[in-house]
Amino acid sequence: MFEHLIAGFITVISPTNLLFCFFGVTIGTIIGVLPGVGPVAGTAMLVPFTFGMNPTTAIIMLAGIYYGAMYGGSTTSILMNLPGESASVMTCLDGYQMGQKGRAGAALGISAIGSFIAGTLSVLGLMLLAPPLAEFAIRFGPPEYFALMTLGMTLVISLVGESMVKGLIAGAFGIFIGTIGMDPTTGIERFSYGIPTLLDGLSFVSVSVGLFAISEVLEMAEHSSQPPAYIDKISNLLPNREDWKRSIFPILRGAAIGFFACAMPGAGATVASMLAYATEKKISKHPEKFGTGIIEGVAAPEAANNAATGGAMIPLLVLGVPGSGTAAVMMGALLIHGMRPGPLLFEKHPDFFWAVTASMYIGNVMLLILNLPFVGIWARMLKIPHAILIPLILAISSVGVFTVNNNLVEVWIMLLFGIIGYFMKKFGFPAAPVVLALILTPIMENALQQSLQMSHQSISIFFTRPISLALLMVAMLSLLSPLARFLWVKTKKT
Amino acid sequence: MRKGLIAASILLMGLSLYGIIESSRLERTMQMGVGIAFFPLSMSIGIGILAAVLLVGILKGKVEIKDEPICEKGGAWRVVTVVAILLAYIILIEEIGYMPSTFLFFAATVLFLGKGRILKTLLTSAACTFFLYAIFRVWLKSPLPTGFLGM
Repeated sequence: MFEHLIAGFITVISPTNLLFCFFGVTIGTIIGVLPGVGPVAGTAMLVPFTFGMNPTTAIIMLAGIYYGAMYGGSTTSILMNLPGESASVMTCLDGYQMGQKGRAGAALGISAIGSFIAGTLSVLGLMLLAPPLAEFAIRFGPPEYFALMTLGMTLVISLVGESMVKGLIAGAFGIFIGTIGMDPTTGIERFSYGIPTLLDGLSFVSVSVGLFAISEVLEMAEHSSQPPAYIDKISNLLPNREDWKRSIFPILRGAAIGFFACAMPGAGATVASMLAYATEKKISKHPEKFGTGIIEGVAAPEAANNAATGGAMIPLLVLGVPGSGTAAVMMGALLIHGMRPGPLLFEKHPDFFWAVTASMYIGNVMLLILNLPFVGIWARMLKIPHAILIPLILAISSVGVFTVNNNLVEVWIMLLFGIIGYFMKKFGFPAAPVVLALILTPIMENALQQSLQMSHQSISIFFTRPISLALLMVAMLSLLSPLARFLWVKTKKT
Repeated sequence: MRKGLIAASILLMGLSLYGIIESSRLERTMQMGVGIAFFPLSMSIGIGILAAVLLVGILKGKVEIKDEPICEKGGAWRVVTVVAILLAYIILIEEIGYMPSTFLFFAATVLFLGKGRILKTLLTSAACTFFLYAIFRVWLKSPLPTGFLGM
């Protein structure tokens, strides 16, 4: 393992990979700082930038954006009570209160250091867990793959968003649009109506940029006011002895919660940070102090949302099932670069996996350096007027999407999905299941067809193989759990 | 918000109906494996059923709906205008090419959203246009639409 890791480090320290790792974490920090533009939108928008790169460099950069956004998100939460991205919501509760008491520096400091510790631990976890899991998953055949993808989708649907019905509609819609184009087995066209661009199916770049970036920009355009920039001086960034004493265990617990929560598809960084905050409050001797500006309330959720990024790489790289919107975008990017995430990735491209893992160690160090001394610069990013930010994001998205196939039809598709995404946000439909389903549908359909060929058209193949049966049962449970909860509450009332 | 969600449910039922009709036209069975209509047809039926469940829930008051308008005051106008400018940009980029269309797009959006001074707007628009050109054309070497003006 260590030989592989050293080889990974050697790959990462090439000037190109270091540059793009730095570029990724810097852009990620900016995305995290700017309210409205989340990591999914940022990653989707920058996928076209990776077309000329080799897959390793591309994923090093995209992963950098992902965990960089987690670092950046805390800055505006602490300074302005404004979460830069959804996973930083919990940091607002105590972080902002600390700022109000004149301890913004300590909150930012513990957030950056806690993020660094948790991020590094999660990479360690990824390094230790991924190889044995891949070894186990290599035995999977088409029925197990079909069951695994079904499970991934149902978990994302049941855990993301406010309503199971809306999540299911989003997932079904994603599967439906995932069938557009030529059927890979028969070559028969489905819903492409003679439009050549649609023969290969809807490009995930156009759809994800539309659903995440354009919809967010439209929401930004809707509001006439913009939050004021933070102008006070930030000092005393290094936590004192007492801060350390109170934060170290919340950081370690947050790291464990974030990593394991996100190693399972569905629970994203937001859920992880909420879980970490709730755990600290529950085990604290003074739970009433949470929300009044205590350092544990900053350390735990920040550690959790950073550890989540390492955890999220497990289902993505080892099983080929992305567990969140950002992971889905990264999987799409990998597929564009001709890499199929899954257990075979370890066998065929171990250099790729270890280089990405090593880049996460280096990226975390870069982020610590970027986020501690330069925090004032990031806080000033909020001075960028929306009047410039909005056309800039729209133009980058449009030109970027155009470069997918050098075709304006892609830009039209992006605009259409931007409008759809805007209304989905308004009515509370989650967008992540749509992109996840769009990417997984062709693979899932293929696995289903292969499974049925193996069993001479009998669906019993899914129920006679223990792994696929177990996975399908968990998928069913995840879908039925809200109904069971509802019935249980109803029975309890009567 | 309630009316909007009702409209969305009805729209989804329409989408479901379209999906069912179109999927039914596809060959439903193959010699080996499931038919190519299996996924789109089953998902269309699923969307229809779920949209109906959502609609019934809204009408019976069982779905939690935020008591707020869909858009803030004046927000719809700003969103529609930004979409219209983007629409015009996509049409223009093919006709007159990347450079002039992107410059016009920036100028129009900055003027509409920022209401700043003309000279500052023009300078910002030119700077952003060249910045993106430098990234996509010079650095990434991506071909950009040139239009009849050749730029």
